[in-house]
Amino acid sequence: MSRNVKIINCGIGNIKSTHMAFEAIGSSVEVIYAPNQINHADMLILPGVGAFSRYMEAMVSQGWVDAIREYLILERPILGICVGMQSMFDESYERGTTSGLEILPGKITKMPQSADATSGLRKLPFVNWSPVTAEDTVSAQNLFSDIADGTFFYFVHSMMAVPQKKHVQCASAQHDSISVCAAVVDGHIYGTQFHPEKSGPDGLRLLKNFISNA
Amino acid sequence: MKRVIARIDIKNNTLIKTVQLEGLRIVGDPKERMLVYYEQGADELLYMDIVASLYGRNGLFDLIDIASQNCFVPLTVGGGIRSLEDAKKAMMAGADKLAINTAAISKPKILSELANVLGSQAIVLSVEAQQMADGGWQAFYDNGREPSGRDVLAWVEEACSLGIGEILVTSIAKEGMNKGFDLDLLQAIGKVATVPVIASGGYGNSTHGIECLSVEGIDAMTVAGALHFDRQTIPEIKSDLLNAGIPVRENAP
Repeated sequence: MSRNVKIINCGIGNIKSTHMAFEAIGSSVEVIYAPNQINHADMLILPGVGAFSRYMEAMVSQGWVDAIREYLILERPILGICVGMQSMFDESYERGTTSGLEILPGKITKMPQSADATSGLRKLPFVNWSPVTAEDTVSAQNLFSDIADGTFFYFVHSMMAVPQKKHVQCASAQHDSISVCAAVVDGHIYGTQFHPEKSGPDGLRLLKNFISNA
Repeated sequence: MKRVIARIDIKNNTLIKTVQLEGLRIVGDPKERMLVYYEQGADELLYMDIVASLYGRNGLFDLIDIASQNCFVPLTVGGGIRSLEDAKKAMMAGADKLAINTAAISKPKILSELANVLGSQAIVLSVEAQQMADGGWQAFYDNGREPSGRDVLAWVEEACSLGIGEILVTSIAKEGMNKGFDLDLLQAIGKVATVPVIASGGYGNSTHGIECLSVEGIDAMTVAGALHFDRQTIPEIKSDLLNAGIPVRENAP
């Protein structure tokens, strides 16, 4: 039986692309607009782009926060993408301090920047494809099943996740001189800093892996 | 990494190729071509509706809708986006980024307004640059037809401070000529831009690509005619770039 994938639309994020990517891999997917629609989900997708504070403002004011926490009590899977992944952590320091969903311990900090590009990125936002390497754990290997080490994924961000528990980081990306957290797994909680829905066939492969393994 | 972006110029839902942003030549069906470029491994697709800003139409959205169902790479849309309303419509249709020129020239603040609502990553400043007699460059609008009076470098600096995520710079004189990019312009912009820069206009062969992407501060380039007229494929272009030591994404086997 195919599982019901629901994509949260809080008015922010590239909902259409995410929706189309799940359709392309043949999953039963629906975009939801109200927190009470979460109930019937087997898998929840949290897409996000833009500023953390704006995203959380929408999540809070529209009542998604409690609905998501409730959904997670039954340990149903969730996948956060980009700012959606960042929102799952405790707090972000983008434009002041903003609290997140607090379902993963850790913080969102600014990526290091340096003019000579030896100890940081020359320009922010970082907009590029970067090679991603998965950790050698079962959950990481499941998410990246049939995806070779060093496969390129598409990133757009200025902030990065710093998980408090090291084992949560299941993949890292090499952005020029710096290494960043590319994906996280903690039990039924998944997140990618990159955009799988914008990363070509390899991105679709990862979404398929999430559907089959989570 | 440096990105190779397929540029698709549209007029009345037809893929066309311009020369110096004018002199149209019909190439074919954009829906077929965009799929070819996606499958070849283009890092992004860029759609420019070349008459939208003249006539105030938004004819690209149907095409973006189809693209978002089939091409899972970033899609940038430009042409005729004049308001937050237009911008939201384009994003809903499946655009990931919006290239803004004319609307920003008349009201620069629209860049920060759009960036605040849609996020910096979604806002690409599109600059159409023409070299002037004094050696500097002036920003043009309405697809290279109208001079804005703005100095390109000052405009780039101002726009960077308004929260844009990227810059697309098209050299009007080089566009469609297949004789290489305006490297002086790119060098100058690469020095002042604090966000990634996409170079457009002039790609004719791999040597031009290597020259362009070797410029410090240039992060991506667009290719149009060379792809549209089947002179080169994306893998051929990337293989030449890699051989020249320019880091690009290799396609999965």
